[in-house]
Amino acid sequence: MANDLNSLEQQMMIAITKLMPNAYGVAISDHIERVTGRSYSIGAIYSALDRLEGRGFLESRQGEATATRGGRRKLYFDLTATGQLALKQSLAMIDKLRKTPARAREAFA
Amino acid sequence: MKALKALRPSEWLKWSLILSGAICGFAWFANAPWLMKLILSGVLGVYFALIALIVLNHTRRTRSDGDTVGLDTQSGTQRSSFNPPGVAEWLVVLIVSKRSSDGMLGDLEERFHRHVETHGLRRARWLYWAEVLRSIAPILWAKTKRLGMIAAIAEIWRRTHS
Repeated sequence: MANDLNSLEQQMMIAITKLMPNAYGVAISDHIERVTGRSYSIGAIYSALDRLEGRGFLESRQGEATATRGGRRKLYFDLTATGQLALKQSLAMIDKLRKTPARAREAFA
Repeated sequence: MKALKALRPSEWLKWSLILSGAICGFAWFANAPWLMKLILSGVLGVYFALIALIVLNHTRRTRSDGDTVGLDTQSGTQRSSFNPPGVAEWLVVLIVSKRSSDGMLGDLEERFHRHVETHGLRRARWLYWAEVLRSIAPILWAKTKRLGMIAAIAEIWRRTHS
């Protein structure tokens, strides 16, 4: 399915909605680590962001350059309407799976 | 020379690799004599020296772009006067696409200065290297797989045409 999201992509999109309008690489990575305890490399974060942006789920804009970044500009990410819909559908699918009662046992009984 | 310097490092690397591959492929198929091979080695040497120069120039240029005041306006933290390892930065510029590399280098440097304050310079440098290797490994792996596919196609073509 075109709107399928993997676990990292879901986590990142949720982090972006929480951090908007200040969602950039380090902030996203720190938020995920703080909440889930899982640490992702900056490279993994950027390749997922690139992928999501390519699919039209995110849009990026250049921010301010700060001294702690060696004069390089931040790249901020925002969720697009398509992205919000894809995230909603993806989470709804997981909820549906969780709420479905186990029928396997009944079938083998 | 100015026009060459204006090229992005990733474009340079891509085109020089394509050209080098084409030259080597031609020499291999044509079973070139030793003088030809010597000339080709010289050409490849000049290519890679130019790539290195341009990548270093790009790293310096992106570092000097923008505001370099000593205080980070958003977090309010003072920037340490230490720089992250240049070779690691060079690797990121070389392997990652231009669009991602600027943002990535900035994020890596932000973390580096945070680590300098909490762990000290020596450990911060180690952590920077670890983070760079962790970051570029999946990208390199993907590129290698793609190159492996190209090599496999070339091998099939060679076998079917020999």
